[in-house]
Amino acid sequence: MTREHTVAVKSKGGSVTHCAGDRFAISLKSGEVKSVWADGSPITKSEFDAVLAPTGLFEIAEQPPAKPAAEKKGA
Amino acid sequence: MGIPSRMKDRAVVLSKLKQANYATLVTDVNLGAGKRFAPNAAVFGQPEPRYYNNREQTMKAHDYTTQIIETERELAEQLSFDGDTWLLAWMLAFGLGKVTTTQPNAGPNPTAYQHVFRPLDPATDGKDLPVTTVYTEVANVAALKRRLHACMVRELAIDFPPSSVVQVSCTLQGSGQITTGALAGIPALSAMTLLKSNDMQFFYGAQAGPTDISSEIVRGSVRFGFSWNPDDDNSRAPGGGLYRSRAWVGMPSPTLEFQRFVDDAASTPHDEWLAGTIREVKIVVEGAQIGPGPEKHKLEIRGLAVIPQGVRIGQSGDKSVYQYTISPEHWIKEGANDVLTVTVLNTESSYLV
Repeated sequence: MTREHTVAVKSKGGSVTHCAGDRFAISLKSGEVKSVWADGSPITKSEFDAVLAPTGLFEIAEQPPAKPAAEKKGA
Repeated sequence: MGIPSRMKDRAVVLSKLKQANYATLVTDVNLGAGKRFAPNAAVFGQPEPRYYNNREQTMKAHDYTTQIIETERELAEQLSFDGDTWLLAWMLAFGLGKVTTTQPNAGPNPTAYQHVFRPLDPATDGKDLPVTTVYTEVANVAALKRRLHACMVRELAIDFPPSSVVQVSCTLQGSGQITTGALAGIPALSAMTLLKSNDMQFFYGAQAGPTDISSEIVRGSVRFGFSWNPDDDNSRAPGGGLYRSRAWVGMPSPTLEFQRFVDDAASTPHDEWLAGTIREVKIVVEGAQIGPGPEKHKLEIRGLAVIPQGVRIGQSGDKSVYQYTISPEHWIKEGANDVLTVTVLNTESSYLV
């Protein structure tokens, strides 16, 4: 099983809310970044392409780099 | 027992929120934050049980029915309201299934929100319509105060009667399940922001450039409707018991009809119909200003590619009158373009989420 690529999204400008069907819903304030739908499930790249990109109002946000693993004390 | 009283206690409370899923209701707190309306006309749904009985065994084991078992339960409501912009948007959200909300003038006018409704795309958005919980009080008795679970807008209609305000009506389809009991903290009746039929502007003609033909429209003749024709046959999954357990969309059915005065020396609608010319049609109704403006409460219905049937139905004075009918099969999908968009401007910050 392959793990789907997930993304973080932000609005291209201003606040924007989008809801499609019973599942996909997201509400973003200006400058806000979210990586999950309103129901808490992660936003996959394919969902972004199919659901959010066609609106022309959302873009993929740079995700903050993962924190490096803590160094062992006394190593 | 006295003479029956008036129906002043009937009420409908609508939430802008969709249910997270069929089984999870909108909470009472969120319903209390919703809007309360008194419909002009309503057929408040009674839960309708469907039964199995064993009358088939007449003249066999016994002559009369000896057993009845409830197998399914239905619930539908019909509501009609004056055309308030919040209500229009609510019906479109749960009727079409997809909405994008932005602030067209966020800085100077932060309370103005623009909602663009589209029929959901089953290929990308999923085939389940969003559903919500509706609270109704049919009368001021406990058994008739109830939450209707998992309601979708099965079909909606928008009318523009002359000398009046826009009218909206819809049929709600619930899962069949109800919860009785008064809603604590029921909101006060909402003040309505109405759109007037006489403020309608009607555009029709070439795609991306329709012209204003408002002066040629027979007033009172315009009517828009939409239904997803939900898939009743598959609305009940095994394990769902008495109730519906999903709201799959079926065949989308937008409709628009209007009548148009045409100069008696012209046959344009007839010729266009025979030629199959693709046209754009747009209806715009603006109401009161929102905040400092320039945004106004607004409804805009836009068919981006339609082939109307144009039939001459008679004449009025020296003008011919043509009936234009855009039936569901005459809304054309061109590539990735939208077929239908409905835009509402009001002061609600979002719908469905």
